[in-house]
Amino acid sequence: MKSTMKHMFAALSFAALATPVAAHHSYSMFDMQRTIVLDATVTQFRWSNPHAFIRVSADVDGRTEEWSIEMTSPNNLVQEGWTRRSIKQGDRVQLYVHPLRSGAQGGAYSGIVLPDGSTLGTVE
Amino acid sequence: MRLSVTLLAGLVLAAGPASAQISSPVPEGLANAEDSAGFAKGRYHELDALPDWGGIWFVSFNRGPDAEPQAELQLKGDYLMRLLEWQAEVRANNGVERRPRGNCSPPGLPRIMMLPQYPYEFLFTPGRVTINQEAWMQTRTIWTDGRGHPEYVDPSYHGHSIGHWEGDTLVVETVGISAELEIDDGATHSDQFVLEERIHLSPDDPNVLVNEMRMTDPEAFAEPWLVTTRYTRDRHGTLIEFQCSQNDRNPVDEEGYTQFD
Repeated sequence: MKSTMKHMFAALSFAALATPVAAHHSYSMFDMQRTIVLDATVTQFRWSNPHAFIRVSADVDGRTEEWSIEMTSPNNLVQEGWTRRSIKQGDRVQLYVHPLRSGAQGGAYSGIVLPDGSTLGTVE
Repeated sequence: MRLSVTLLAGLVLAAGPASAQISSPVPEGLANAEDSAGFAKGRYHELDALPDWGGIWFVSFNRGPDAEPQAELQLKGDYLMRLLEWQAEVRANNGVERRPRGNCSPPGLPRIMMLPQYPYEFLFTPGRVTINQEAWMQTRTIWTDGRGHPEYVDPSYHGHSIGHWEGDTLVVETVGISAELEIDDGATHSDQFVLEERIHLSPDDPNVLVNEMRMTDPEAFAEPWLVTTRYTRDRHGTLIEFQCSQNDRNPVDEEGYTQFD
């Protein structure tokens, strides 16, 4: 009985770790329960597999920080309305991001407010 | 001078085998060599009888309240102990997982058939079904020409797949999947692992493809593991190149932890 309970606990806690987006690698390095918002300027946008990437200069507490934002795959982002022309270097955007657990300046993309005020992904 | 002579000798050696006849044996289980997928000409018209699987397909996830329950993998013996140890380590490490392989190497079967983000396409030619997977640009071959499994299968990412059509359902059996690959996070199988798949369009929606997987392993599994994966069609979509090393921002360090560049 004891070992059954142990197994159940393992299975339950493990299910909570699983995320719908894990693919090229596990998303366990991101805190998927937490979302932060970055007011930022795009410095690089890379549209290629395995993950599209956005690098930005973000305004954080009056300082400028360089952040790397990992996205899902280009073909997956197309389903969400993205194209490789959705953003470009120099664009002012608001990024909704699940931050790295390590505290480093990076995270997983959740959503974006584009310069014209329109949004893609989850911005809440 | 000596260098150029050495080079020339090397070229001659390399060119040697190309002029010889290359001839693999007729696949095991085929009565006639002409039945092999190697003889495709004259049989393309037969493909018109197969179902409409055109376009590309994305794994679809339903995690809402009406999602159908998926069975948990039930391991036994040492395989279960290793999974529990791995899970305990993840919990002790704030949920961060260690991985046995680099992120630029593919997951192999069966996980390659369950990947979100990266679509699939299914190509029919006489005697075989080819599945192209955007992820890691993998190609999977299912032989439908009537051959059996070879007596010895080298363990590999995709093993050896044979299939046949039962009406509009492709029925596939795969053996020889490397036991070094994870079947689920932290879980492995033995070299006795067998994957059976029944792939067909959904009776409710012709733009949904259903893959009913049944996995058995007398060494590692307490019971068969049943997983159903659904794919949604994008009729005019195309696969995008996937050259992992071109954009590898997630190398795995010597401890097995994924880095973030």
